Amino acid sequence: MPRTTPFSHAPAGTLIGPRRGAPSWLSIAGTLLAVAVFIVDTFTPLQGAVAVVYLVVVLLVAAAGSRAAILGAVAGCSLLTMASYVRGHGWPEPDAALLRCVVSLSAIVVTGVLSMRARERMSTIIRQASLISLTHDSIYVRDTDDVIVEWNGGAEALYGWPAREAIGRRASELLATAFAGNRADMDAQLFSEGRWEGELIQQHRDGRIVLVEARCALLRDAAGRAQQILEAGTDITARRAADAALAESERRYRAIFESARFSFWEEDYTLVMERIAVLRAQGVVDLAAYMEKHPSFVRDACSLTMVTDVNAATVRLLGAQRREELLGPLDRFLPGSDRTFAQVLLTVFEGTGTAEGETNLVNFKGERLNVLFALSMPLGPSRYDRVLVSVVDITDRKRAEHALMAMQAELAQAARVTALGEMSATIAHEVNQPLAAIVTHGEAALRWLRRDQPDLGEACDGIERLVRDARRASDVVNRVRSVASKEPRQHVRFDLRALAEECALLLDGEMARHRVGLTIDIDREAPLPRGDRVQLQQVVVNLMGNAIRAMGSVPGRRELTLRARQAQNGTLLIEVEDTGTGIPDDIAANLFDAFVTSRGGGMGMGLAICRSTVESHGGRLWATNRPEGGATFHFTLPVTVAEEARA
Amino acid sequence: MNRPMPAVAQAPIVCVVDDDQAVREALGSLFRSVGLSVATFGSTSDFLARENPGAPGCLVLDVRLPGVSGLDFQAQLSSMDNSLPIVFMTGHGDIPMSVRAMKAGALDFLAKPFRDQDMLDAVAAAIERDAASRRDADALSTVRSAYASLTPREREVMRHVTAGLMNKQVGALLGLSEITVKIHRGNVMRKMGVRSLADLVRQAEALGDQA
Repeated sequence: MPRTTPFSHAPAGTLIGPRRGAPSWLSIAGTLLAVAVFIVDTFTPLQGAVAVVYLVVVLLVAAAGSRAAILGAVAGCSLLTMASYVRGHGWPEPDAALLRCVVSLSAIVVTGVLSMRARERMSTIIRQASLISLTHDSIYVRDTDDVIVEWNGGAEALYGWPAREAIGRRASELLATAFAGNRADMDAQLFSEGRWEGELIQQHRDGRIVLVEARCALLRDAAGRAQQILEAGTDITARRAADAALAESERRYRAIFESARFSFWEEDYTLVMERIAVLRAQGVVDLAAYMEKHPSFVRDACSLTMVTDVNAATVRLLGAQRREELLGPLDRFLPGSDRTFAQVLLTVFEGTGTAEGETNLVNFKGERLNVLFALSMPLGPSRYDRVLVSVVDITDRKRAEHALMAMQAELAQAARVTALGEMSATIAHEVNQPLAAIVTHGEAALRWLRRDQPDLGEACDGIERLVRDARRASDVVNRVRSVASKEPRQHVRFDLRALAEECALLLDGEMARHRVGLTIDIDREAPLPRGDRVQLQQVVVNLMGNAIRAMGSVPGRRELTLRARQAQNGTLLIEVEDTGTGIPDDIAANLFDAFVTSRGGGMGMGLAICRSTVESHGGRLWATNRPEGGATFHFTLPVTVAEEARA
Repeated sequence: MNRPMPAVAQAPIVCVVDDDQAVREALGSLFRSVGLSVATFGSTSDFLARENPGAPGCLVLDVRLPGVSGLDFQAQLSSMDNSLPIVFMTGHGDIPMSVRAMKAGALDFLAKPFRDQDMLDAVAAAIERDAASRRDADALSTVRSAYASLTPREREVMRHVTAGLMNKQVGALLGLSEITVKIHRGNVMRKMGVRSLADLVRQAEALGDQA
């Protein structure tokens, strides 16, 4: 074995610590030798430095023993030397014998110290060598002729060759080493800098190709001549395969992302989640309730949500020129009226994985799109930086639906008008019959009285009938009223929030068409209203519809607010507020009368019916203009009494 | 000589058809107060079954009646060759309905409640119209009976003469001498009770296709 090699191909155990087999016989030999030297030194008349042979004892022990054994050997040999001297020469005197004794003692001590130091160095080297051989990395050493001179267990595991077969073979032949680059470049770098790192393609004993990440170091002798090359290698075949699989998977993901006809978005919620974490730290427990109370938080969160990537379909969807235009804060595309983002935030925060819904996007032309979206977190519930959102444009479908709904609404309106016309014709006939009789009787009676010979009998007859017919007319009116109010009323308590959401849904198309943003602000403490849900929903829809149309022609902000809270007198106060044109002065006084309208297409029945509905519920309906423009319609409703609410 | 007896002059009767008794009573009182005879009926069938269908006068008819509507009844009467003038009343008159009624020959269309004077004026006009049409009808029936008394040859001569042919041409057409034609023509003028060719032409027109 070459002496410069600091490690062995032998099994690791033989390199570590004091040798368990060797020490016994080496120590025993040392001990026997020490005894022999002592006897010779003490009991034979040999004049000379016999004691110097103790050095051999120390060296023998040092070769095998521990630090303590070396110290013991030095001490023992010194004592024996001094004992022999005292036995032979008596009390010390400065003569040649004493000099020999001192020289011997010095030699023993110096040998001991040197042995100790050698042992220390040796054990460090052994420790290092054992570490090297412990590693799973392959390590082998070749000389400048490429002949393998050292080969560790890792190398055997990596290449399949045992040390005894590898050593002495040419490395590049044995391993069929192939380079990604140029061999000459590698050598140049290795010899100039003393190191080289790179990937090698090599062959296992069984012929399979292994991909090795290699680090080579040049070992030089004391004169600085290149002597050997140490090559450490790690098998990266599996890692490479995994990397390649990952890359392939990523490539396929990209391909799908890019070529999909759906719009795909990658969004980064990290900043938002940090904000939410801060809220949590401040003691906010119910995030949903918090966001409901602080709509501005949701808005801010939207501006902190970053679009990090989009596909081509998204670029087309939003009418952008380039992908880069879309990257950045999400709030540029989500209109203020959006009510889905809070839910999305909750989904992302709770890491429940998926959310889906319907919302609007505003494209680069300022058009509003109706979209379905689905959100997923492919990297797991805590990876907020890559949230995948897919979006399907359903604007056309919605538009068709709205057209259909508008048509149906018009049909319904036409049907209502027809029915109303029909009914009013009937009522007119019913009422005009007695009226015609009354008038005619009256006029005929006058004629009887004004004749040259007044006919009192005929006149009285006529007037009696006139009175009778007037009563009949009044009966007709009463009958019509009773027919109109024949519908039995359902008095139930109901959830105003659900009703408001339904109204919003009904008017969604109209709001989108007029670009109206809706805020539903229902106080959580607001009591449950009670009444005929269907009729009251008509009231709310009617008021909201009026509000939307009132904003149809105003420039700038169009905000519709539905607000509800408990009024001072214990009733529920509901307000519908708009930023429209307000109520014109000329119709303000009889706003709620039938047939009063400021709209071309209106019949002017809406508010009249609203008011009678609210009043029949024991509430009140009134309207005010807002100083900053627009109008507010207020109405009150009775609330569920406490016992019922508990029931 | 051969003229039929002129129709006996009868007092006009106003017929009221309305399903509402109060309206019937009120109109009855009104018409009586101005000295008109009134007959009231609760339905169109009652009216058709009345005792004196030939009486002059007019019909005051409500548009909205149970069963057949006033407008349909108007058409029905017209198809029955009953030319009794009609004044319509309606509880909810609308323009298309009134236009249709007027086109079909209604004399007036009054919305309930109406002014008494409007009703009386309308009825007076209707009665006048009926009287006039009855006079026309009488005159026509006189002409018809006179025409019926002509011989076939005289009718032929009358047709050609009223078509504007000279006696000579008529003679040539019918294979008669001019003198014979003249004799026939004199008979025609006498029997039809006219003195000039112009009057004869008018009568031929009134007779229309029968001539």
